This record gives sequence, C-alpha cells and structure tokens, in this order.
Amino acid sequence: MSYKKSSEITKEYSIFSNILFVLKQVYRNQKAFVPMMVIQAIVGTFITFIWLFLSKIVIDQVTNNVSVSSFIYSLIFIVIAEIILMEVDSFLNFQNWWRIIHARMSFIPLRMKKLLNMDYENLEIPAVLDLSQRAEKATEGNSDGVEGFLRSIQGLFTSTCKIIMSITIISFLNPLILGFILILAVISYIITDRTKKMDKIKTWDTLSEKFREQGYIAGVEQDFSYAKDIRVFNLSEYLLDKHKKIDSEIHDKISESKKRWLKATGLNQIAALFQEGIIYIWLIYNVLYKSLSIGNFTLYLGTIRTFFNTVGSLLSNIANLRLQSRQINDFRNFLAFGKEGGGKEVPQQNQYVFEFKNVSFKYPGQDTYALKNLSLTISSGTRLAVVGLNGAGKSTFIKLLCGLYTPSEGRIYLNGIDINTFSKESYYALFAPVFQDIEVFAFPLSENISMKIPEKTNEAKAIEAAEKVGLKDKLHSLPNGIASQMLKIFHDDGIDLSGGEKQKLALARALYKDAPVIILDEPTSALDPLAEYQVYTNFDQIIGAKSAIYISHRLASTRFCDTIALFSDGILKEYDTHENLIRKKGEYYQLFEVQAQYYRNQEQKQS
Amino acid sequence: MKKRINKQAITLTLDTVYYLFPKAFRYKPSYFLLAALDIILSIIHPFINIFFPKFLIDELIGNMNLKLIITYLIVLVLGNIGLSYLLSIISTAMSNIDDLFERYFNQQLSLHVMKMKFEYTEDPQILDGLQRAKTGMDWYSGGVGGIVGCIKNIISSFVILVGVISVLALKAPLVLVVIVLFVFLISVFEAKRNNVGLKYYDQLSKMNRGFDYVFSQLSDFKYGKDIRLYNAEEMMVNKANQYNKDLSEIFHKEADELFRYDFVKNMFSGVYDGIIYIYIGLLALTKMITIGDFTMLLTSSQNFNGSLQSIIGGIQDIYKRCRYAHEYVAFMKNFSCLEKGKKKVQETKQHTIEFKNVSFRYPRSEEYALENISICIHSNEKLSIVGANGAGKTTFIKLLCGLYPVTEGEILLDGTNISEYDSAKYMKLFSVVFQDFKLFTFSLKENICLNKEVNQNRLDFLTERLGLKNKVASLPNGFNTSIYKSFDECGFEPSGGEQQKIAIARAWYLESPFAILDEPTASLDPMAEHEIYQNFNDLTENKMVIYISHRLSSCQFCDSIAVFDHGRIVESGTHEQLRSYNGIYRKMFDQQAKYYN
Repeated sequence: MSYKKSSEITKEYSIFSNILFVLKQVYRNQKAFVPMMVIQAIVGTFITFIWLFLSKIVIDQVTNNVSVSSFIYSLIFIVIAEIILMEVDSFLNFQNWWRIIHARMSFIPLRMKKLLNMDYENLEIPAVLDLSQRAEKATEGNSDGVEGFLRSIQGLFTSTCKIIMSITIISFLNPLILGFILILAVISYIITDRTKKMDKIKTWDTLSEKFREQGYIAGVEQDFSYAKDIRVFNLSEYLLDKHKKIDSEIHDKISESKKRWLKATGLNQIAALFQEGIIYIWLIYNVLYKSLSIGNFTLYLGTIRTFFNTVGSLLSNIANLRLQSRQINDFRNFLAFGKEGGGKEVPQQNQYVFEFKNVSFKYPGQDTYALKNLSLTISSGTRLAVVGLNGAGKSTFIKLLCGLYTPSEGRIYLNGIDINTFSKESYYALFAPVFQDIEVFAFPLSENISMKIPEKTNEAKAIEAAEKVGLKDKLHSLPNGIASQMLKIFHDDGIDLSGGEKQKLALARALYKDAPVIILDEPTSALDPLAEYQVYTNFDQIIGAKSAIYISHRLASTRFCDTIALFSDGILKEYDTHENLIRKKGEYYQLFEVQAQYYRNQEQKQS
Repeated sequence: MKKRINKQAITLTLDTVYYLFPKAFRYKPSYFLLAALDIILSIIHPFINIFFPKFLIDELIGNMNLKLIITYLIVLVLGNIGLSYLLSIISTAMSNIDDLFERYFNQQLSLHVMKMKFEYTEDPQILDGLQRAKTGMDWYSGGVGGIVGCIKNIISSFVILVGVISVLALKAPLVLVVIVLFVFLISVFEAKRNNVGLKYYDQLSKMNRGFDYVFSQLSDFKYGKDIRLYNAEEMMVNKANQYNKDLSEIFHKEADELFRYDFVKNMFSGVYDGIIYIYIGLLALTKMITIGDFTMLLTSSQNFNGSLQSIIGGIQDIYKRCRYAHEYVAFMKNFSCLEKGKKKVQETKQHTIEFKNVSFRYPRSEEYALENISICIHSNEKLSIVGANGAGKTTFIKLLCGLYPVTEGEILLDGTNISEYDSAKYMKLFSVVFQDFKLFTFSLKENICLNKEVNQNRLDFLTERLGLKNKVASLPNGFNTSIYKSFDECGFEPSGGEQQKIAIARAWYLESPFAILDEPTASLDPMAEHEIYQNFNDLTENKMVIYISHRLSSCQFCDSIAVFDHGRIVESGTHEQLRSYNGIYRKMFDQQAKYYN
C-alpha cells in the first residue's frame, strides 16, 4: 500500500453520475429540496415573462383604444397573478436557502467519518492527506463543491425553463434570429471558457503553493505561540518582509488574471454590441416596413434579451458544473478510498498475551525499515519499559501493537490469533494510551474523560477517574463540576486547562476506559522530578493487574518495570530485566551509565 | 432601547470608517477617485435606458425620421455597452486595489501582533479578539472594498431615486402620493424586518465561531491516534451532526420569520406596482402621455423599486460590514506596543544583572508568580535554576528578557533599570531557547541564522559541536534543505531531539552575552543529552548562562544553583553546598539519583 501520486487513488466520475450522487445524498436529508427546486425554476420563468407581457398588453390595448374598464380588469388580473407568483417564489427562495446549506453540511460528517475510520497509517501518506484536503474543500464554501454544484443544478433547471419559453416566443417571429443569437452565445462561451482555462493554468495553478506559503507566514506572525521567539530574536521586520514579498508576488499574478478577464469582457462586449445592434436594426426594420406592432416590438426585444442572457448563464452554469463536478470527484474518491472495516470481535478473556513474530515495518513510500524482524511476547500483567535513542523504533512498535499500523512483514498475535482478523474497533478497545500531545476537546469535562457521546457517558465514573489522578481540587473549583464545558469555543466561560492538568486529564481518560493494556508515552517529560515520581507511583497502584507499557528517556522512571526492551536502529537489541541488562553491560548499561554518572559521581564524592 | 442600538450602530460605523478610510486613502488615494467615477457612471447608466427607448418608440410611432431613429439607436446601444465596459474597467482597477488593501491591512495586523506587549499574547481573550479581527476583516466585512462598495451603492441609488422620482412626478404627478405612502410603509416595515435579521445574525455569529472547530479540527489528523484508540469517532460525528442541526434550525427559523415579513412586503409592492401600472396605463389610454412615455415611466418605476431596495439593503449591509470590520479596528486600536526606553546598552564585555526585591503577578491573576526575588548575576557566571512545576522558573526568565514588566521592585542592567533601555536593543543581549521554542519551515541555514548575516564557519562549528554534523551531511541540499516538507519535497522532518539541537544552534549563533536554556534537553535521548553536556563549556565560554532543567544532572557544570519554590528563591549556592543542606534540592536530587544506583 504505497500511494505516491494522488492519481493512483482517484477515479473520474461523469457529471451525470455526480449529479445523481449528490441528489441522492440530499434526498436522504432534505426530501423536499428537489421538487421545490423544480417548482422554483418554473415560477421564476413565469415571473420573468409576466413583466414582458405586461408592457405588451398595455401598449396593445392603448393602440387598440380598448375601454377603460376592460383595461383595468386585465391589469388587475395580471397584478394578482404577479403577486401570487412572487409569494410562491419568495417562499421557495427562503426554503431553499436554508435547505441548501443544510444539505451541504450534511456531507461533512460523511467525510469526517471516513477520515476517522480509515486505517491510521494512511494518514501519513501525503497523497491521501492531499485528497482529504480536497474533499474538505468540496464541502466548504457556498459557491464551490457540493453547495455550488447544487446551485448550478438549480441554475440549470431555471435556465432551461426560460430558454424553452423564449424559443417558443421567438419562433413566432423568425427562427433565423434564433440561430444568430446562438452563434453569438457560443462565441462568448468560447471566449469565457478559454480565459477560464488560461486563468487556471497561468494564475491559479501557479499560485496554490504561494497561497500556502503566504498562509504559513501570516500564520506564524499572528500565532501567539511564536510571540516569545519573535520578540527575543527580533524577527518582526524580517518576517514582515517575507510576508510583503510573497504578497506582492501573489498580487502581481492576481492582477494579471484580472487583466485577462477584462480583455475577455471587452471581447464579449464587442459581441454584445453586434447582437444588440443587429437585433434592434432588425426589429426596427420590421416595425417600419413589416408593420410589427409596438407591443410586439417591446415583447420581442425583451424576450431576445432574456434569451441571450439565459443562454449566457446556462453556458456558465455548465462550465461551473464541470468545475464543481471535479470537486465532487475528489469527495467521492475520498469516500471510496481504502477498505472498510470488518473482522471479528476480540473474545473477552482474563488474560491477554501479545506475540510479535518476525514483524517488520516500513513506512509507506520509504525504503528503510523502521522496525526489523521483531519477535517478542508481552504476557498479561507485564510492566514493560521501552527505551532507546530517538528514532530507534519505539513509537513504531507501540503503533503496531495498538493496531494503528499493519506490519509490512510478519504477524502479531493476540492469544494466538492474528490481530488482523479482528475488527479494528474491538481491538482498539484493549488499549488505553496516554500520548505526549494531549488534546482537550470543546465538550464537557465528563465527555472529555469518557470520550463518548453524552448518552453513553457515566458521570460518576468520570468523577471517580478525575479524582484518582489528582484532579479532585480542580473539579471542586469548577462551578459546574464534571459538566463544565472545556475551551472557550462555544462557551465564553469554558475552562482552559494548564499543561499539568491536561496530562492528568489524559490519565483520567485512560482510567475511565479501563482497558486491559495501558500505554504511557513519555507522560512525564514536562513534569518536575517530584511530580514525576508521584505520577509513577500513583499509576502503578491504579494499574493493578493490568498490563502497562512505558516509553521514557529517563531510565530511572522505568525501574518500576519488570522487563525492559531496548530498541536500536529498528531492532530489538536487548530484552530482559533491569538487573540482568546492567550485568550484561550492553547498550542499556551504557545508556543507563551516561545518565547515572551525574548522580553517581556525586554519590562517590560524598562517600 | 431601540434608539440606543441605533446610536451605537452609528458610532460603530463611523468609528470603523474613520479608522480605515484615512489609512486606505494614504495608501492608495486613486481608489477614491475611481469610486467617485464609478458612482457618476452608475448614475448615468439607467437613465440611458429610461430616456432613449422612449425617444425611439415615440419616433417609431410618430414621425419615423430615419436619421433620428438611427441616432437614438446608436446612443442606446453604444451608450449601454460603452458604459458597462467602462464600469468593468473601473471595477477591475478597484478590485485590484481591494486586493492590495486586504494584504496591506493583514500586514498591519501581523505587525501589530508582533509588536504588541508580550503579555497580551498570553491572554486567551485577546487571542479570541485576534481571531475575530481576522475573520471579521476579510470574510464577513469584505474589508475597505466591501464598505466602499456599500457606500457607492447607497449614493448612486439615492441619486437615481431622486432622478427617477422627478421623471415620474413630471409626467404623472399623482404617482408621487403613492410613492410617498409606499416609501413610508416600506421603511417602517424594513426597520422591523431589520431587527429580525440582526437577531439571527447575532445568533449566527456566535455559532460561526465553532464552525471551523467542529468541521475541521475535530477530524484533524493530529488527534487521529487518540480518536481511534478511544473509539471516539461517534462523539466527534455526533457533535458535527448536532452542530449542523442547530445551525440549520437557526437558518430555518430565520427563513420562516423573514418570509412572514416578505409575504406582506410582496403584497405591498404588488399592490403598489398594480396602482402605478393602472395609473400610467390609464394616462396612456386616455392619450395624456405617449406610448414612449409609458415605457419610460414603467422603466422608471422599476428603477425606483430597485434603487429603494438597494438603499435599504445598503444601509443594513454597511452596518453589518462595519460591525465585523470593527473587530479589526478595535483590535488594532487597543493593544499597545512595548514602550520604548531611550538608553542604549553599553558595549562592554562585562555585564551585571541584578534583581532587586522583584515581585510579579500575571495580569488577571491575584497570586504572585514571583515574590521578592533578589539575585545578582555576572558575566561568565553559570546559573542553574531548579524547582517544581509552577515554581516560577519560566516567569523569572520572561522578566529577565523584558517580556513582562515587573509588578514591584526593579531589574538592573549595569546599574540601570531595564525599562529605561530601548527594548529591542536590550533583548539583543539574550539568546534564549524556550521550552516551547518554534522552528520555521525555512531552510536549515535560515532557521539558524534567521535575519543575521550568514557565517559558514560558525554554522559548521555549531552543528559539529551540537552533534548535527552527520545529519547535515546526510541532507540532500545540506544547510539549504528545508525543515519540514510543507513547501519542499526534499525537506526533512527533524526529530524532537534534532529540533532542540537546531534551536540551541540558533540561539548560540547570535553570540550574545547572555544565554538562557529552558529545559533544552527534555526530548533528547540520554546519549544526545550527554553530548550536549559535554560540549556545554565550549559553547558557553565567556557567556553568562542560565540553565533551567528538571534533570538535576545539569546542575553540576553550573557555578551556582537557585532553587525556586512557590515564586521564591528558597535555596541558593553550589551543588555541593545544596547537597549538604537538607532542603528541596537534596530531596529532588536524591529522588532522581536513587534509581541510578
């Protein structure tokens, strides 16, 4: 599974298939949307033409000298029809306005679900990340992706209705003029389309990277966590210069594109000049020599203009549809990517024994092994320390054990069964990890501990976990206790936790989960020696009979463990108890001595 | 209550305009000339379509003078197309400047953030304010361009409205009565409708704050491990669905409520239209006006409606936009820069820093983070600071670097209070590796040298001493290789340890007299840590060094140690002295040492 280019994971769907896909999904959430859209198109068409007919009727009646009363009756009839149509249109407009946004947003959870469910290792492949980002784009704006696509479809309906209506009216006059208008419309479509293509190639494609760079620089400048470094290293002018430089590069490209569009507009205006001129001349000729009535003159003039505009917007609708369809492609490709879960449940047992058999692992797209030929057994209730230099393969080992990565070679067994045969979900349930980078979510504290939806959160259990890891005082200090909202994103009085409190929150999560295996990945690197000691002793009691795996650079902190696994260059070099490894005087011994000397020397001096 | 809102709306709008427009004018005065031109042309445009079709039709029905007909036709067609082309030239030129404005104001924002007092950057409310300033300015308000566009519209619509009413009044005076009545009804009505709009707009702007969080951040890769292993997907998706539902509900309610208003409004304008048509139709029918006049009045009446709507909409819009843009204005106005002292730092090799009874309280905090600290540090001295989490070690460093002013007491550099020095020059004395240092996605070389001149010898020396030499040799472009892959496929992802080494190299490159290292080896493996300790003396020759670490092993190559506890210095002396004293230091050291025996 190594995807280097995004082309290897993308497939082209036809516009038609994309329309079906989008409408199907919309239908699931918004049944009324499509019928409403069709009705709106028809109503909109009638409203446009009622205006045109109104002046024709008035002028005809004036020239024919009809009676005042019949004149008033006919106008009242038209006005009532107009009011009704306008009410219907306005109702549908408001309805579709919120429905279209709701419909678009209902696509987002599909992408989230996919992202949160796909194999973890895919998240480290640039092509997949890229695709995911593009899929996100497809659900983001009001005029792009799904929502833009829906609007284009709606526009397509309306345009088609109006064109049918215009053609019917004009064909009474002269079909030749139709052909003429069509040719001009196609010319202007070609101009627009060519400009769009040029624009994409010459401006936007070259800019996408510049935009990212600009975003990065501005992000750094305005990121408060960079504030100290920027001040102490006096970087404000330096960064701002970079910012200005890239800004002016982008601006130049953008104004180039604007010039291009202005040129296209100029060409289109020339085409319009011909169109307007010829239509007027032709209609005036008819009035003067073919006795076309003034009423019909205004009707035809209006209709032809409407027709021309509608053909224009139809063509641009189609162009948009093509563009947006590509974004829908991205979205569908993302949803279709990779395999879906499956596999059997992990059987409930008292003992969980994990066995690595000749396991090797290579990161996707890499030539060297991150972990080579690892064989190791972790028996139930073990306390295992994983040590080694940076980059020796410690975290790869942990990710393989947790099932986040699948071995490139070899197998991992749980109680003798290949873990690949289990469903990811039930396998993940075996682990309660505490990683270095702890994230607090904008949910209530209780859910931050349970990591479950409110209905599945046991508050009493969450309180118990929080108290056990030393958050008792914090909990009492919060006005809403365990129900307090975290972060200020949704609630102005949301709680921000300090670094130490976050670490405790992560430990509480692990406790709440009550899984058979606990993993602690450098959980104390930011803690002072006494606090570190406390965490280890407390946790040791809490863990009880469970298995626990510690990763740490501080070899002292791994002295609680029964067994030590020392990784070096992706290989398990040493695996034994602390005492045996010290006696062996191998790599572990060396590592230990390097740290110990600073303390040892002192001891010797003392004694 | 309503009056107060209106008054507030006006002050807010004016405040925004007063702040942004002079700046925009100074930056690109031509923009406002273009806007004026645009207004004039936009006013002329509709009148071509009001007058010339009338002339044309009257001529067609009446004298049929071919020469006149052709003249009208040319004015009509050329005028229309020529004007719209001119307008698109102007709007292109203006949007070009809009882009410049957007960049300019964003740059100003960056500068402001980088220059404002450091303490603001640690205030979550100000962070929130920054977010609102950013999104308010470029998303919702459309910046200067958006506001100018609104004003442009209002002015031109107003003139058109006056013109159109005059046309109507001249030919059909009674229409005026209907118009006055209609305008009165509509404006009373719009005021109510506007309040509905504002009510929902308030609710939505609160919801919007969470949009990015719910739909983007919750599924961010960096939470990937935890979300999978804690099986928290349901929780995230649930939140997204809930948010979608809440948001749609607001939209739905707003749509329903607005429709109720629009239903009545449509009635109004339908009836108004009806009265106008029947009235001017009857005028035409009774030959009081020509058919040409009829079409002219019809177009005028349509323009009347359009202009009125655009004025009403424009006034609401300008307030909305200004309210968003005001977040930016408020942010730019409120948080001041560091005050600059005048004194220059003396160019000597020997410096002394003295803390005299310094106490410090964080803003918004009632407790002292540091209390009554007195300590004197000389050049060439190596000081180690130890203590529990939250004891005040990092705060001490922040005060020393001048990032925070002291609450009580004073800090003296060579006998002069540091607040009297030019702060940028003062900070130049320090090279600091913060606990949460940040690297940039620039080349390795740029990360180390930053804005200083490149000195290859020094680069080589530092990388060798810090154990980065082999790493640099292994990189495809050596020192010119980018850190991280974001902008360069050949870029490299440094491990945590390598990042720390690069940060140390960056600080050392400065050759400043004071060096400060805050937990510099926390993510280094034992070997790398040992290597850095070994080279420590070489690297820090002739410097004053302050070293913060939880690993007490590092204290042994320092001349003196200060032990912080609850914001105070509770013990100080050499390693040997403190070891023999039965205090916190000894307890901590023993705690760590015991596992190494």
